Amino acid sequence: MIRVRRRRLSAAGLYLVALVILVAVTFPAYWLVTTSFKYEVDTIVSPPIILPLRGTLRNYVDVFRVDEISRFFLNSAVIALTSTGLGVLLGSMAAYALSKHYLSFRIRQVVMIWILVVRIFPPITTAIPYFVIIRGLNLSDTHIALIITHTAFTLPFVIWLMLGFFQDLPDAIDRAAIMDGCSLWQRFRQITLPLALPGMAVTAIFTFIFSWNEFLYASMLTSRTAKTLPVVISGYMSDKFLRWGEMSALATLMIIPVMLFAGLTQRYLVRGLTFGAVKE
Amino acid sequence: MAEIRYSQVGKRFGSVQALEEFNLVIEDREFVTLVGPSGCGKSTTLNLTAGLEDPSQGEIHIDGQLVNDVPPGKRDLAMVFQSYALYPHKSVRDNIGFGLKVRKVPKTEIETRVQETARALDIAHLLDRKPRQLSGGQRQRVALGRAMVRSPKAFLLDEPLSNLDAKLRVQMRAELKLLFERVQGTVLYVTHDQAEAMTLSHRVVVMNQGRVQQVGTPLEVYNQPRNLFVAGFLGSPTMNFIDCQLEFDGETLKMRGEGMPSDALAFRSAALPERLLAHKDSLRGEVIAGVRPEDLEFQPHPAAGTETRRVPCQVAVVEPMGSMNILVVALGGQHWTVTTGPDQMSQPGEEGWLVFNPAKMHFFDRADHHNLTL
Repeated sequence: MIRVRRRRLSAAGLYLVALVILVAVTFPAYWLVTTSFKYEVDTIVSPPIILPLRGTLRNYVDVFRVDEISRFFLNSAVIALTSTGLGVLLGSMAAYALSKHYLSFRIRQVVMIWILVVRIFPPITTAIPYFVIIRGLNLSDTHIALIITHTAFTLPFVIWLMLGFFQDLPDAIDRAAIMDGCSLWQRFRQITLPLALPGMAVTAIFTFIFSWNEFLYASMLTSRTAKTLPVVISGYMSDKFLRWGEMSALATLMIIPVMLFAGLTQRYLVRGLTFGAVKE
Repeated sequence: MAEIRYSQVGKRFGSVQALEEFNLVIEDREFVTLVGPSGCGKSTTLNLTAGLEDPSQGEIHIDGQLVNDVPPGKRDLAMVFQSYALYPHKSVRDNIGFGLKVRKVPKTEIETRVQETARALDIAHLLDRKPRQLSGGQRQRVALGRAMVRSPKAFLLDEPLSNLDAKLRVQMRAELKLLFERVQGTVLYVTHDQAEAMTLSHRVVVMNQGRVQQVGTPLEVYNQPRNLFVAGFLGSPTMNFIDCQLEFDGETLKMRGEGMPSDALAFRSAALPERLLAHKDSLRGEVIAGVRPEDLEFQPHPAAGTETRRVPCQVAVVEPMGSMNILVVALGGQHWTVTTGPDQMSQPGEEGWLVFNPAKMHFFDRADHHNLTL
């Protein structure tokens, strides 16, 4: 009896922890979505309205009235997709090279740390140099400016993550491909990449989210032509007003493509793809 | 098919000498097995042959051509890995045909050759499956098929059976033997399993600590081990070794081990084999005697005529194996392993006699462990 009761108690404890985590994770999203349907007065009352009893689509209508809003959507999509594609491709290639023993262990370690250093200092420290370089290249307010900077920023992340996935692949498979006569590129293309697809999918989702939400460089390097959605959102904040409704409406809309992208990529997240290849 | 020749090949990993002064000629169509404990350099030798590692010194010739600088894909060798290393995302058909595809063999020819190979290995019905849908034995066959389909100059097999369960391993061992007899390939086979080494190969290379210990036919290395290591490595249960004193006065060879009654073992020179007589000068002083368990006899009641070649002992452990019994008997402070026939029943604690056969005994130098009778 005591044993059963104890087991029940610990199960209840587990559920409680799960509930706390669930609330902590989902409440911000809930708050965002509900705010996007609130009347303006309801967004600023105190105490805040947790469970709104009335709603409006006004905020969404206002968002769509913003000049060239569809173009900003497109900008965000083009920049996020391109820098994700480039980042994952280049990063995977670098990670593959680093996962093999072409360089000595020491050198590989130094390179890996050096790559990480790029991510260690806060982005703001490189913002001014980037700004000057981009202007010097006559790339201000272009997609390319953001694609370059976003790719540069995601590369260390991609390399570190993909390196882990590549190192997990059994060495014998690579050796088998060598014996089958594959060149380095053939091995990467035909053997390693297909096996690392789940890893690439995870990496791509994170990279996409980073670029999609990136604000600092987008606000510095673009003004109109290549402006992205986070910059548009920041336009709802000023010293004169703070338009919570529109801001959360646009933010809610921004979530949708990310969900779509994650959904599309998810089918590659099949685990156990290497199962059956080798027997350790 | 081809001959593989190693001259003075060595490999160093940092401060570790993995392989030293490796000299060997594998004849065309010969099945040679490298056997030894882990870390003995056998896998290194295989990788050097494949080109997956570069030798630190020495030369490797395949078919008369120096291949030190030839990349693995151009050596025309096929390798079967211990872990099978199948491509998990490719079907069995594509796994087998991949090497041909990379070498730009026409599609129709690939299909014919894959079919042929699959039929030979009895896996034709599995061609559309993925490796994860196969059993261990089937994966093993696919791995073999991937090697055979290319008709390479030589096959390199790296412990190909060690991941199979015991029963399947014995079955596949026999099939491998049959298969390579049919293919008539030059085979370099690496294993730590002495049964595979003994049953499969034309010649066995016993290795230890990066050095070749002995090269010979399976029976040669079993019956005439060149040193203590070879003698101890081959054979199951392993050979008994005992420190003893030898004395040879021209007429009789007296042997006295620790805990044995003095003058208990005295072999008349007429009973000694030519092998021992030829080296009678070295048979004196402190040596290590080696006797295989099957060359000893345990007699509960001493038979006539064995007076000078038996010592009293007591059974300590009985291990019935079905086909034989393994006895561990205590003799003085030493334990000896003896095998007896399945019908000879013994009990722990039983007193009896351990009977030696001088024709089957080996003596090794205590300092450098070489066989004194070879």
